[in-house]
Amino acid sequence: MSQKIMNKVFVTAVLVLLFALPFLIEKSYTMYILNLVGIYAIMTVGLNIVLGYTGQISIVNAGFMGIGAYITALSIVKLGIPIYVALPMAGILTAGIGIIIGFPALRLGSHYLAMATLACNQAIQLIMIHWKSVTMGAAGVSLSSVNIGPIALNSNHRLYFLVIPIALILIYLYANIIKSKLGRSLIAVRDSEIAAQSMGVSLAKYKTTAFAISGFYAGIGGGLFALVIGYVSPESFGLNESVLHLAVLVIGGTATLPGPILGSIFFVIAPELFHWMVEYKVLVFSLISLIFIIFMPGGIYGLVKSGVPGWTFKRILKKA
Amino acid sequence: MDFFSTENLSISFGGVKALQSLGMNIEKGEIRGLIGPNGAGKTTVINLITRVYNPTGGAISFEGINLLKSKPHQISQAGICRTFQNLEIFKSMSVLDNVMVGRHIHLGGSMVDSILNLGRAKREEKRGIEKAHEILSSLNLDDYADSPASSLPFGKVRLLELGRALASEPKLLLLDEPGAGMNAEEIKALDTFIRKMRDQLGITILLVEHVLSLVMEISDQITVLDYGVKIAEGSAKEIQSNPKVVEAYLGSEE
Repeated sequence: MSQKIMNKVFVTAVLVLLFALPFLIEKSYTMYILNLVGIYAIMTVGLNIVLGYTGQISIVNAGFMGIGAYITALSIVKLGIPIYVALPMAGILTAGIGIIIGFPALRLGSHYLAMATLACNQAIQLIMIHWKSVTMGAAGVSLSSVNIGPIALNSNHRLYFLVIPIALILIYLYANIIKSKLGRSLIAVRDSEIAAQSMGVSLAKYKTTAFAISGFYAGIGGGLFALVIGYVSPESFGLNESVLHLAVLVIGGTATLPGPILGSIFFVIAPELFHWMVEYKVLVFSLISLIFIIFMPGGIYGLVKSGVPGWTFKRILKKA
Repeated sequence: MDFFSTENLSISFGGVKALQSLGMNIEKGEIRGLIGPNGAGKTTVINLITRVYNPTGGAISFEGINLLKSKPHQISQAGICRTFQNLEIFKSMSVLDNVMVGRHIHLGGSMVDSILNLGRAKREEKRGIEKAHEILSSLNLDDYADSPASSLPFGKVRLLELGRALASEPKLLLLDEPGAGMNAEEIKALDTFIRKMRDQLGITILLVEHVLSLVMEISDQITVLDYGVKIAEGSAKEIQSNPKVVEAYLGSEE
């Protein structure tokens, strides 16, 4: 019981802090950073469902993000659709793409699925570059002065009040998914396909659902990314970006509830503290995630939870 | 109408005929033993019934349904569930959640209900948890309900397999060597439990087992396989005195 109360106190404290932050912080850039943390949390939470919990290797997350970003940007700029329609649409359509990309997962094992999703990511990026009549090609799409009704989303402070509530709702739903019948079925598919099947869990249904959910989350995240950056171009959604999403997940803690959130905080804030990281982002984060995979497979969350350094050193010695 | 039957059921892997023209009838409420030396095709029979393998020929019917038309995940819906010889437990889940996956087909509500934790999904989840605790108690596993399944000792993992299968409320339960690796005392408990499942829950049981004393003790009928061929069928007494069975297990006298 006390654990439950502690949890409630913790959650309330975090919510109050998140609400107070924009009033305490004046610097627009800091708000921009916080918005990015929220966006990465959304995208990697979705990735955690398909990769962490369902065990289906997906290297197409940046592709999903890009699809969401383009749908949002183009429907606002070209079609004049209001953002509160464009954003859910981005999520739902990307979820649909997720289902289509999920089909190979029914046939392909781990490494082959990694290759297939990687190829999908490349294909999506190529479509963005070459389908010029719609996507405006490599030049990209600029989004300026987007409004929600009478309110102009013209500052990072205002965007914060869009990004963070959406992130919180999606994280809440994610926590529900993991604890529900749906989440159990996904984990069952990962742990033993044959046993899951004989308990009545349809592999086809749950694998495609996992891809759909990750598509939905990355689509919404991508849409918010477009709004916060104010500009969408194909180069943001390449293989590098997908690999970075993987790194965020691994660093935070794969298949743990708070892992992707911790990973996102680390991923966005670390380069702000150590500016030399910016230029070598992919290299640095790939190395960090390698170190995590080998020595601390539980990620930051694993470290926080059990404080393993002593244990890992022992393990390293044992392995050597 | 037969409760459960196979007809001419056959499967080959490459050139190996793992099972040849198996005909088997199981009556409702029966405990059927399925024995045979290593590699006789016992687990293959279970894998065929649960649609893990596609037979090269033959038919399987259960309560008048042609099982060969079902997909693997529809078998438990039809009322057949199984355990695994090699222990296919969901290791990263708690013991309770393992049983809850077993209840999968009885937990209704749409996916949206499930995500929002509302309505029917919420109600049936709650009832499912009660039911799961009941099953765990009957197996003396309830103290472990919240522990990770991977932390269970070997013998208890076998019981958890049994509990998970029971949670689906099967009419026909396929047990693949449930006694493997158990000590004499655990075997005895298993014996009692299998009888209880039949007598109190009315579950028909197909028991694949290496522990012959257990099979002989509780089976109403026993089917013996050797090299994928049925060589004998009958009561424990008939089987024990059947020269073909003795030969298959001990080799011929020449």
